[in-house]
Formats: sequence, structure tokens, C-alpha cells
Amino acid sequence: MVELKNGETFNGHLVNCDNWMNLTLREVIQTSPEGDRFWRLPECYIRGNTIKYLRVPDEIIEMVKDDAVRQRQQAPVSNSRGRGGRSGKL
Amino acid sequence: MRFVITVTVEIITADGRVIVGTFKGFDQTTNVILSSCHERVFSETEGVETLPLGLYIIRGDNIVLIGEIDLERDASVDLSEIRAAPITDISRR
Repeated sequence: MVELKNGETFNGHLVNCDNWMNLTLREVIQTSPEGDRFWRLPECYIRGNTIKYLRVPDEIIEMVKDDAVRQRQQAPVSNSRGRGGRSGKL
Repeated sequence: MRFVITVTVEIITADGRVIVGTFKGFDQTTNVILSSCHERVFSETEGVETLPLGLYIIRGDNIVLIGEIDLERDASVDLSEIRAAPITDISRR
């Protein structure tokens, strides 16, 4: 779930993101800031700087840890933490 | 070297929300990851309401304050007895 600075929220599956936190979501339900109107969108693109916060499923943090372990096994020298560069699906 | 940060923090956002959670990470633009967070909703007529939120990524733009919470002192506070005005939203001016 993504809440924008204007209070609108977007609920959907994260399919892509970049270093600026721009997001692509699929199967989205958009909610007006007042929470009284809803729209269903097959896909949407959200500019990162309009985001207030992201609410993500709790399991994701565990997946990130597993991912980090796997990456270290593959390339023990690199220590790139990246920025918001989780390209996996939520 | 990697180290684990396990502190509980309180974040006040530009829209006046107070979010408490376990600090999991941050980056150079102060985007912050908090796990098992909850929001504290202040009111002048009732005690503090605590809303569970889960895992949050809060965008740095929207963060006004981050403070570490002393868990012992925090536990000694009875939130249901606290009456306080909510914080003003400064994000839409």
C-alpha cells in the first residue's frame, strides 16, 4: 500500500521500482484522500517524490535478509546496500 | 562489516502523525524502514489511541523528527492517561 503526500492511497502489486522510488503497480485500487471514492486500475506508475510512505507485508523484511545472505554467498567482496533497490515483487 | 540496529524510535511526520517502531534501516535521503510499528493518536478528550501498522517505509521528505525511545521509561508511561492535542499537519501549506 502506497500513500501519497496528497493522502491518496494505492493498493496493488509492486512490479518495479527505481532509485528514485518511482513505482509501477499492477492490479491497483486507488482511494481518494477522504477515503470515500475508489477506482480500480490495471496498472499505474507513481513518481517517487509524491510518496509519503509505503506499507509492506511483514514477510518482506525476512525476504530481504535471505536475499542479503544469498548475495553475499554469490559475491563475498561486494558490500553494496543500494538504495531502495528491491526489484522483487511484493 | 554489517551490524544489526535494534532500537525503537518515534518518528513524527510532516502530516503530524506519531509513529513508533523498530528501526530497520535508512538511506542517504532519510527514507526509513520501521518494523512492527504503531501509530499513537493523541486527543485532548481521550487517552492515546494506539493503531498497529506493521512494516513501513517512510519517505525522508515526510519525516520531521526521529527520536530514540527508552523502552523502560516508555513502559512506565500510562498512555491512556495522557491528554494532548494532535500535532498540526504542515505538509499541505
